[in-house]
Amino acid sequence: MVVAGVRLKDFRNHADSHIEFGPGVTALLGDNGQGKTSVLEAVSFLSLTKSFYASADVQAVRMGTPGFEVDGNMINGGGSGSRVSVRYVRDAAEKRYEINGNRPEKLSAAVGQFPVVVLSPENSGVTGGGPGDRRKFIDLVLSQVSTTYLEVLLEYRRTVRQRNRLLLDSRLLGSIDQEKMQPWDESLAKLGGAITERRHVFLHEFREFVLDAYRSVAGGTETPDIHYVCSVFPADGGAQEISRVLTEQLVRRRTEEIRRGSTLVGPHRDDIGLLLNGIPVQQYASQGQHKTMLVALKVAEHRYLAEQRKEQPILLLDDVFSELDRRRCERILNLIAGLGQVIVTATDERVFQTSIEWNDYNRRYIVDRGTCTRVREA
Amino acid sequence: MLHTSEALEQLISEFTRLPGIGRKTAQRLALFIMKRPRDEVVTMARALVNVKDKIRACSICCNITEQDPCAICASPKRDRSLICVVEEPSDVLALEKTNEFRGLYHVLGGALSPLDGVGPDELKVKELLARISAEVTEIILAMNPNVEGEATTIYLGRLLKPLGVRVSRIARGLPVGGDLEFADEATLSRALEGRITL
Repeated sequence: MVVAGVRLKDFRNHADSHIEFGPGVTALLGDNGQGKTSVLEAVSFLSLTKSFYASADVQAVRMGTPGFEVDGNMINGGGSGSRVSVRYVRDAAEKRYEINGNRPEKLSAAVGQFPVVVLSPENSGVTGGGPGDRRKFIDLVLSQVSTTYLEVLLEYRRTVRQRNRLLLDSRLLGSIDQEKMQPWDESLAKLGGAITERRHVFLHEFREFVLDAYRSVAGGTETPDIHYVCSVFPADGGAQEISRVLTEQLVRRRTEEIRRGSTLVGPHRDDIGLLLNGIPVQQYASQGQHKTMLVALKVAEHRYLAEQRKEQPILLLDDVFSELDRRRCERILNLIAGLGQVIVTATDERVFQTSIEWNDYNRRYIVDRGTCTRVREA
Repeated sequence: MLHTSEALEQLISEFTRLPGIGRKTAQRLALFIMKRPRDEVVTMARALVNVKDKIRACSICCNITEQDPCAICASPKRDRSLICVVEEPSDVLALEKTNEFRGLYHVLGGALSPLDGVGPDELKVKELLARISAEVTEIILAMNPNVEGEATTIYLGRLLKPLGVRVSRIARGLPVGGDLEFADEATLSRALEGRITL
């Protein structure tokens, strides 16, 4: 998948910008606040129907204008193109997403049709935040390769909500009706077992991708690892065995669950352990090591999705080079040069010097106060 | 905007209570009614009241009916050894259209959902248990394929099995006339899960 070009009209600080991306690396160069990230966001709108930042659509509208427009041409691996456009009108608070002039029935159905992998400072929670950030990361990757997983995950979340309400009611009543609890225990254990097993199997495959990418960036001096941390038991027993143990745990922790009014065991309490030389990353790693792990996870995601979906996603890298030493930056560039289309923001062009040769395949744009100018080679 | 007639205004505000009807549609409906002949409007009004006056729950299956017991429960042609348990009266209509099921029904009036304050006591579970007799050989659970339907199926299964009656559930899977290659992953994996031995 490549995006051949994108046009931004009244989007963030871009009045009317047009960029033609190369099939390789496109570097967006410029100082802070000039509109580099906005170009990545525009591509995100075309693919995900929204920004990768948790911000409202209306915030992307340029000051003093009625709405924004983003148009682009997406070309898949087979060579067929689709014109995608997103229009947002401030007054109507209405977003129109169209593929070749047709609106998809549901926006959610369009998401994932043009796969992208995004690495932005927003993702820092995956290595530095809580277990929820890490679960979200693997759930998103898994949902993109298996709609069954997504469906089971949604059913599981609903079951947890229903069950929590029953626990809360029991706390208020001061007593528990085991018969009422039983069907929710059984559903939770069954769905929970399926989710835990799928995540476990996935991480087993995914691990090789992560280790490989980490070593490529760090250069073999550090030993990374990634594994699934099940909240109450080892997760390698298969779905049925996990369901059985989950059921036992639910019964054992009944009193505590009622006291707290929430479900205390199951995959919604699990974590993904990220280790560096045997030590958890979130506690002891340096800023640069955090960033290296994040880059490794995202590159792994890109390669995994490319393999599973037989279509290379577009890679969007926002501010990836800060906090990293020169050698790691160079290694990242050598690594991503083989990942198909990559669009990357940077404040300093020198980082590309030794790794990327500028031509029609790899292009440079200077982004300055909302205008984009291609740097032509002499 | 208020109309010059109090009666018209009242009719409009009554219509806006209906699901999917906004103020503008309500106004259109009210003006339409106003222009119809009087006897036609009386017939319509009587139909509205009849729905409340004549319809009640069948004392056996809890489905909506005008005579008690309902036509299905009273019919000598139905197989009294089979009871199909459903959530809503509309599910009975759907199953009746198949012309395949010749047994009786039991309408629960919903599914278990603590978030909506629905537990076993809010459903017609006691009424179902009261129907289990030597005559009944099988209970078929036909809940909706969602989280609440699943929990209801599990709950009723646990409750009914010790009573010595055969308990089954309807299959979840592929639609008839659909090609395997066009089925979504989730449906296909459910169909695989619910496969039967030949």
